[in-house]
Amino acid sequence: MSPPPGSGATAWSRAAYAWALAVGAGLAYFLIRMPYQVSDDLEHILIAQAQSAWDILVTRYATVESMRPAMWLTQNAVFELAVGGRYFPTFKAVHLAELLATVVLFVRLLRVRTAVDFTALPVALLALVGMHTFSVTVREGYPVNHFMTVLLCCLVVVNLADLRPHWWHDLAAVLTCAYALFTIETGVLVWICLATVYAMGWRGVSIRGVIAATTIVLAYLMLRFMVLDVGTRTLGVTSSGYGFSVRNTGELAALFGDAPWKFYVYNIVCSALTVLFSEPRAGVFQFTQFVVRGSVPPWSVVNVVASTLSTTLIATNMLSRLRRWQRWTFERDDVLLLVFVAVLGANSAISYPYLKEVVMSPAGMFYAIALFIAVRDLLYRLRAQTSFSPVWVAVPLLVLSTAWSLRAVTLVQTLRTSAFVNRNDWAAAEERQDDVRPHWRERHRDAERLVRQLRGEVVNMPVPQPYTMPRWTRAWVDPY
Amino acid sequence: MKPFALAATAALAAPALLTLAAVVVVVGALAGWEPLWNEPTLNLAEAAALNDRGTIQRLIAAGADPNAPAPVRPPILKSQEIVVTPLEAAVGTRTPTTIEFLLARGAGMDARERAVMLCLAMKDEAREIVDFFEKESSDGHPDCEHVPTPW
Repeated sequence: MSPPPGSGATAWSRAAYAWALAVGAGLAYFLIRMPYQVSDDLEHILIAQAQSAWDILVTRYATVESMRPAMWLTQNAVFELAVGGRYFPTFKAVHLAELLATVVLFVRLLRVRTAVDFTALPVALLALVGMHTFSVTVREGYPVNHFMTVLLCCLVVVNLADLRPHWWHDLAAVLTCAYALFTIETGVLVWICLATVYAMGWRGVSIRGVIAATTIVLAYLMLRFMVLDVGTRTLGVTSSGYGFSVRNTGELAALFGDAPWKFYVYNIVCSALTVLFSEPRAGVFQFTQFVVRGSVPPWSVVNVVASTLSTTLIATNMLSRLRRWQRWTFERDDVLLLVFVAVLGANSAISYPYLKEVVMSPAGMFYAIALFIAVRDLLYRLRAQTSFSPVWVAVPLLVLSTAWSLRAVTLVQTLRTSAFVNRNDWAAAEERQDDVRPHWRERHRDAERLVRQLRGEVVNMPVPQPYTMPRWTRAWVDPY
Repeated sequence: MKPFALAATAALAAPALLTLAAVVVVVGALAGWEPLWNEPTLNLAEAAALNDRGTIQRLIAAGADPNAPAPVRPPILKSQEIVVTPLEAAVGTRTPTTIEFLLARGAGMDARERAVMLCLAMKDEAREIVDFFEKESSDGHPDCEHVPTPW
């Protein structure tokens, strides 16, 4: 990539990448060792085995309420890439490549150049991986995690726009937008990122590129809603959190059948709140419920304190920039903050039919970027004002960094626990799938042999035993 | 301490420890030392007691007898070691999932074994397992006062 205007990598930049890669490698270690979940994973692998890329394109370009041809084609391509039937290692390699690319592009966007920048980086990195919206994003494989793909695509287009203009940036941005859009519905956020940074003055991708990407989005919408009539999920299709519990489709229909828009508004507001405050969780006001009951587990306190403190910092930082924004003047950090606002808004809006934390992962990622800016500005201010009492900054920073560190540890523990659960599920994969086994044989004569091979591989993977974890640690680990 | 140094220490302390741990984990794994990803060696009864179907599958595929009693170390089931069959150990999970899993893989349950398991489930108030036995057979409940159980 051509370097951005006025930038220059320093030793601090290299240290930042090294730090990020250490965090990424630590996560990668647990990811490699963890078997994927059975649901979606096994079915998708069997589809990749049974159908050629062309068959997939013809039969799966659109299904009920979803249009994800790029997702199916990617899974098929990775399946075909696997040498000697080494399917899990190949899918894991893609997963790790996506994770490490996400971490590197995330750090690149922060443009760490000084000791102060570097000091603010670790908290932001831990917010990225410790955020509850990131947990499923990194944990599950379908067998390619398309939620992670969307995160990566968002970072690709914003990084491209941050470069000097070049024709290939346009091409790459348009292709990235199209790929994300046809991978999963939240892919539209990639276009939101591109349009926002262009509107704020970043010109690494030209107006031609933005118009081309916009045309693809419009074509997608026409194809989906007018030509193919794929539609979208609405009230009553799936269960969702509301108030203090998860409601099934019947309960939701009874509550909101006459006015579904009330439920949609609830979901949009809760989606934004969960990113900003870690409450509610998937629509359920969990922390509030704990408080009312008089028994709040430490992990819940950690989550809410980390998010609330971070959001307060970000909001304070944004308020100080409002006057400049009103004059439509934007510095580099302003653009990143406004991308966060735009993605949070759009991400919440498309979450209207039901609440699922992983869907909010793009907003969660840009939240971590906004946090970096807020923490870094606070440190700069502290360095400039010697009369300022440092304790008032050091104590909240200590709480903030410790809380996000604990949340990152929770992710690691979640990966360890999931490994045990997933291996158990794989051990019984054939029984679990008894109702669909005849279809496996119809699809491909070797389907059952492949299931046995995959099951054998997973069952022979060592996983940590949950009973070896000290009981006291459970209170600190978010079980959701 | 200077104000910035104090704030920097506050911001970096916990993340630095965590990142150092990440490096140790990765380097340790490369050297074959994996303290955060080690699996204790279990026999079939212990795996059943821990609802560990992956290990059960692996041990049975390797030729383990799904009916053979084996010692279960403390504190997996109880505070002292007890010798039980995998099916009896599975009662400790309080759900019938592992029992069904074992039955599908060659574990046998005669009238005596059924009575022992049902009495254990009733003693432990493992409602799901009691329901499972009630659905599975209409033999009724045994007289548990006269059924010797391993705990």
